[in-house]
Amino acid sequence: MGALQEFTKGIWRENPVFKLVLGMCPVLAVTTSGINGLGMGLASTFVLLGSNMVISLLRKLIPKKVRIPAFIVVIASFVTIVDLVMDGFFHDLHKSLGLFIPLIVVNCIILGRAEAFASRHPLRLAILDGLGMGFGFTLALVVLGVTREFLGAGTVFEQNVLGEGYTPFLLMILPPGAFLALGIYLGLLNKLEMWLAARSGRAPRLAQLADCRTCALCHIEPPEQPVD
Amino acid sequence: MKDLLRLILVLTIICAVSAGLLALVESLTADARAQAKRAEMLRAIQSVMPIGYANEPDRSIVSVNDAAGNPHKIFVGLKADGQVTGFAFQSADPKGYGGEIQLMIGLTADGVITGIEILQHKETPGLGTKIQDPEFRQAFEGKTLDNSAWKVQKEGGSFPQFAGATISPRAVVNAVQRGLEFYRSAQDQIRAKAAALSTAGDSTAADSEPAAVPTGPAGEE
Repeated sequence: MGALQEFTKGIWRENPVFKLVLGMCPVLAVTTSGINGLGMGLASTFVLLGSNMVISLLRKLIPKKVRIPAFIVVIASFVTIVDLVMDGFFHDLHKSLGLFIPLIVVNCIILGRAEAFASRHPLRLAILDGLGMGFGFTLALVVLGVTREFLGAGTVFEQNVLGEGYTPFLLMILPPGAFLALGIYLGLLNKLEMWLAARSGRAPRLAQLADCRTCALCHIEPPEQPVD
Repeated sequence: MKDLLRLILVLTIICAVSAGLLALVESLTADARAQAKRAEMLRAIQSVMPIGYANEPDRSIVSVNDAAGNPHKIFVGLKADGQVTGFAFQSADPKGYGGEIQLMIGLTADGVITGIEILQHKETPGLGTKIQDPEFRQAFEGKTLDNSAWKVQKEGGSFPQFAGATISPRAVVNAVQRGLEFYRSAQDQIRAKAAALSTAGDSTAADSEPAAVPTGPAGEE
């Protein structure tokens, strides 16, 4: 697989949200508006990039038996850095994301990429993987956030686009709206993928809803061969 | 045994480096975080405090105990000549729809509300969050403990509720009422301490830069 593909796979083919269906807690909880989705996505991207880089550099030094605690310490450090910097310089965003910033630590995507990719690949590829996965995650959060904000409040990035006459479909910014929006997007994207696959005559790559192959924690001893 | 030592050593080094890095970032961002927090508090005070003060009200604080002995911080607005323009302080009610609602109340020295500002809440977006709207908050301006019925209109009071959301406005009304009752019970003490503050702070009040004069929303409301 080429280096460029390590970057683009996270955006479409292995999009963490729409294809791997990972990290659903922040996806469902913070996408009540476009700006929240963007903030959460960029914060996660920074953590993912940082942890991928450090773990890739240290991959030959960290013994297998303690790799999970070592990864978690690295990830938690980057999360705390994001938390502190955001509190100082983006105070309002920090307030609205609140509890979900510290919870980036347990975002399955970040530990998943550390375990499945960064700990087995050189720095250059780990950076591309982190950026690609991060952007894919951000893109999905922004799409969901904008959709829910548009339907549920009649605004896009806090700009009123539907005018005063629009009665907001409140449900969309309440918790059930997160499941509705995500479900509809997953369905539509699966449909699109099946159409694309049929046209080019290959097997479709659908969202891995009932598939735990991608969860790092299932593999107590990692396979000898790299996953990709 | 050698293997075990290696495990311990590697993890210890990783943790130690992390701790050092975090301490560094913590100290580098300390100023910015304190400033952001102060700006937030100052913005809330400025938007509720009676206009005409020339000091930095978030730094002119008197502390007064309520009947139960809990200390309350009161922010004092002072004119350049040391006269008290009004007070701002926090109040809260635990019975919001999603938990506690914290707010800031601004008062003249006579106990007439000049504004309220919601500081923290966990209400339902689009329903309970209307307590933050200026239209709702303005219903409190000019109100005193005696000239209003401290309930929502549905229960025969003076304050509006929203279609589908009565609990959040009721919690706000209760929090403001509690704040006013506290002010009434402690007003002699508050005024005395504020007067002491204004004489003691004469030199600082005169020195304070004109930038501290409220502008924008505080003047318009």
